[in-house]
Order: sequence, then structure tokens, then C-alpha cells
Amino acid sequence: MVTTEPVIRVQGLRKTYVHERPFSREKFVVRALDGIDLVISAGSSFALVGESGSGKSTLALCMARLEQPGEGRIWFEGQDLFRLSGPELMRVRRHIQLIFQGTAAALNPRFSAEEIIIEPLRIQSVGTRTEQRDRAVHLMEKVGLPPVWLSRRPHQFSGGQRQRLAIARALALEPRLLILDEAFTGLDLSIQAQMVALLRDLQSRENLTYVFISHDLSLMAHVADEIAIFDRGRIVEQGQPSRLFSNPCQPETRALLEAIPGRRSVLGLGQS
Amino acid sequence: MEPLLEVRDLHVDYLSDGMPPAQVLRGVSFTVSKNEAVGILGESGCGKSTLALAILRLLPSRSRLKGAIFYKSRELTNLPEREMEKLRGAEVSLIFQDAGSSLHPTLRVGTQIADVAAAHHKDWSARQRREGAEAILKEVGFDQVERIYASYPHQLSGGQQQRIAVAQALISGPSLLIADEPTSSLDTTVQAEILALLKRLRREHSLALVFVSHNPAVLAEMADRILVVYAGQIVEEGSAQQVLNSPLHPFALALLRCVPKDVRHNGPDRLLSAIPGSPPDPAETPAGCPFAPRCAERMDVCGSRMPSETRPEPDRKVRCFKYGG
Repeated sequence: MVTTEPVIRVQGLRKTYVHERPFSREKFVVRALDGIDLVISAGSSFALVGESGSGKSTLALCMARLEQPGEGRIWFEGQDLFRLSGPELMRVRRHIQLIFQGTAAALNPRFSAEEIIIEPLRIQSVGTRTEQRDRAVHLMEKVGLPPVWLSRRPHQFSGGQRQRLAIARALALEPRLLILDEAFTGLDLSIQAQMVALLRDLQSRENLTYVFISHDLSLMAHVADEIAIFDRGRIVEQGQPSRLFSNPCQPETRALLEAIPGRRSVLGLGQS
Repeated sequence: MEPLLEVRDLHVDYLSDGMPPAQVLRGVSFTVSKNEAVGILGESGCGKSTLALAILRLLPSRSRLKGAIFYKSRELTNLPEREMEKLRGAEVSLIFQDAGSSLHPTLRVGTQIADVAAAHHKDWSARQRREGAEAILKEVGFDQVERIYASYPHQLSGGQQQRIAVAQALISGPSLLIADEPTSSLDTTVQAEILALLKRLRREHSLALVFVSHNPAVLAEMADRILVVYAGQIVEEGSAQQVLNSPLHPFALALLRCVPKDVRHNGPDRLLSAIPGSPPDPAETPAGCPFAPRCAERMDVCGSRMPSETRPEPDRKVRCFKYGG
């Protein structure tokens, strides 16, 4: 199906969290999202970059319909995400998958790798038992893990291998949008580079759209076509990586660029 | 000049029932001079954290240590535990990656800093301890010292918690600070603040630093000299400038290629090149060079025996057959 419809269109999204202190009437309001508009086209890689607490993860959760915004709308391939229910919603959920930072916490320690990969297929009732197993073997190969490890449990994998396993699970339902929330944080640089190569390879073969969430501008410049800089619930600047690096317009962008380690050192990273 | 710290042929094995011992460090030797910052660079599982713990004799009980560690010419490996306790914090301090989990959750952070002072200065009054803690809180960059003093760890951000850990590490005036991935779980901007703080404190307190990291870009900020560790061995050693600008060992070269460079210099494809495979299992002793299975420049000899250390240039060491080995 050829479509010009963007994978994600966000319009006027707002979300506030109200915190109440225990034993006190004092309330404080956090504006996690304060009027977000953006469009992510099919097959592209989009990065949301900002400091902790800037609201980028809240936006990701809204895109996956795991969080309800206060105002605004999100369309996934033209369908209004917050008007869907029942079987329609179930169908859309297949196509939007998430990968988180702490794989040790995101993978059930009592499940084998096979059960982990097959669980989404079971929930969505996809295929027979044999087909599911074949699929698990195929997915392990796809993310570069030996299929004989399907009987292993998460603790028998290294950090980088667990992240591959999480990707295999996310791909099980053949999603069209993959949201990676700090999926590289805490991984060694060598593993990070392997993940980047794997994701790029998968994208070229599967027509996947990626939304990356990260505080690491230098890494995002390597994986994203377009970067949105987040600050206090707003997108303060958006553009292609090379433009943001050569001509940052906002102080928040400059602060993130300044913070890149090795910038003014012998490595000469980020120097013009 | 006498080095501040000298580690000589250090071997550490981790023991477990019914399994061969995991050889985590296989003969590591290096020195750290007064005021010098030495970076230890390597992947997860290469033994770099074990090295940090071994210096302070904080290894788990089911481990075996061989070799010698000299601090100000005192041999630490056979020092009585009571002497070791006096040395930790007062002479050599340690900070970890996750400061939040090394702080007591139900004690005020100020008290936790003052307690460190109390352990080393038994003669200090409660007021002296408190004043000492407040002074160090100011030094690590807090403005509202009293509010921070009375806070609990969960009320502080990750960066603030790491500042508290630094305050604890420095209150007893050590000469050597060992920092094990102290910024790896922090945001880039907070990381930059902590690195700047450590640089300033290093200058002001004439501290020597052993800085453990998997990230060459972070060591570019912090280190005068870099040791590259692979599978429990130092495979390359040189000045930060030498190692980062013109690495000799194929592993060091490959790791540097994993650092995201400035996009404007990289052309349209912006490729990071990954190192294939993963580090060897420390329970298995490789016959040849442990990096050989992943090495782009492997030769026939690499699989047959371990390369020995050579000095291709003055003040540089490398363990690779390309340079004689």
C-alpha cells in the first residue's frame, strides 16, 4: 500500500501531572507537554532530545497510547489514536511497539527467550504454536542472536544481547512504528554502535519508522533524519542533525551541544 | 619520582562452585603519579571495575588476588584490615556509577557526609563534623547548603546525588580518587557538570585520579594518560593524546570508531562502525590474543599464542603482534 499519510501526526498536545504532597493540601502542577505539534513520515527516523524531565518520554507514551493527553490529538497512519477502541485499537497496538532503557526490568526473568518473543503473538493470537516457534527462530536470527539460545533466560544474556532480545520481541508483530525510549543508555559504546547498525539494517528491510528518545545529541545525530529539541514540555527547535550542529538557534540546543564530552579535546568532537 | 600508586602484575580470579575460576584480571601493571589523572578504558566485563575495587581491597570474598599494590610505597595486599580501613577515604576514595544506591535511603545526606568525617577524625566534635560537611557541600557546588544537608537522597536528582558521593569521597582529604563510571547513568548535560566539578576539585585538592570509563570521549575530558583494558589485560598504554589521536592496538582503534563524531565531518552516511562479536568469557583461557576473534587485522600468529608487551615508541606500550609482540 502506497500512502502519503505520515505515520504520526501530533497536534496541540498538552498533558499536565498534578502532584499532591502527602499530609498537605499543597499541589503542584507539572506541564509535561505544553502544546506539541509534529509530523513523522513513514520510513524515517525521528529523535526527541532533551534533558530528564523535559517531557519527551510522556510524548512517547502518548504516541503508544499508554498515556492519555489532556488536550490535543495524535493520528497514527491517519487514524485518531484516542478515538480507537476494541478490535480497532488492538490492531493499531500491533503496529506500535516500544523498547525501553532497562532491559533487565523489561524482560520477565522467569520466561525463556522463546516465551518472551512469543508472548505478543499469543496475546494477539497470531499463528499456530509451530508457526510462533518458527517465527521466534527467525526473529532471533534477524537480531543476530543464535536461535539455540531460545531456551535461555534473560539473566544468561549480556546487556547488549538482552537489548537485541527486546528488539526481537518488539518486531514479533511486524510493527510499523518502533519507539525507542533511551534504548541506548547504559550500553557500552561498542554495543551502542552494534545496535545502531542493527536498527539501520532492519529499517532498510522492513520499512520501519523509528522514534528515538534520548539525552545524547551526538548519538542521535547519527541515527536520526530529524531531531526535535525538547525543553519543559515544548519543542524549542527542530531540524536536520547537520543544521542543528552547524547553526543551533536556541540556547537549549547550544547547551546540549556544549555538553557533548570530548568536544574541545584531542578528539575534536563537535568542533567546527 | 616515587609513584603514588603502583600496581604490579595483578591477577584477580572470581571463584564459583563447580565452575572454573573466572580470570578477570590477568597480570595488570601500571603506576599513577601524584596529581596525575589516569583513564582506564574498556568494555563491560573487561575487568576495569574489578581493578578499581582491588586497589581498595573491596573484592567479594570469593575471589583470589595475586600480585602487589603499592600506595605511597606501602604494600596494600597484605596490610591488616584495620590499617586498610584507615586508608580508605582518608588516602584513597572511591565513587561509583550509581550514587543513589550507595547512599543510605533513610539518613539525611549531610549526616552521611559528616559520618565519613567522624570515621577518620575521631577527635572532631559534632559541630566540627557538621561544619566540615557544610564546607564540602559548598565545594561540590551546592548553594543552599543547609537545605541540601537536611535532604534525603530521594529528594535529590541523580546529578545532585553524585555530588554528595563526591563530597563523601573528599571530606577526609584523600590524595587519590578512584571514579568508576561516575557519569555513565547521567544525562549529557549533567555529565558535563560533574566532569567539570571533578576537574576543578582535582586542581584545588591536588588529587590524583583513576577514572574508569567505557567512553573515550569522557576520558578525552579527564585523563592525562590512558590504559586500554581488554579481557583483563592492559593492551595499550600512552598519553591521552597518543591513545585517542593515534591508537595502536586494533581494539583501541575499533572502540574509537564507535564514538559518535561530529555529523558535519562524517559525510552523508554518518556510519558508526561497530566491533563485531563480544568479549571472551573470563572463565575460558584463550590460546592466542583474546581480541583475535573480533580483530579486523588478525594474522595467523594471533590465534596461536598471547602477544607480549612491546614499546613501539617511548612512553607507549602495546600488546599486539603488529608491533612485534
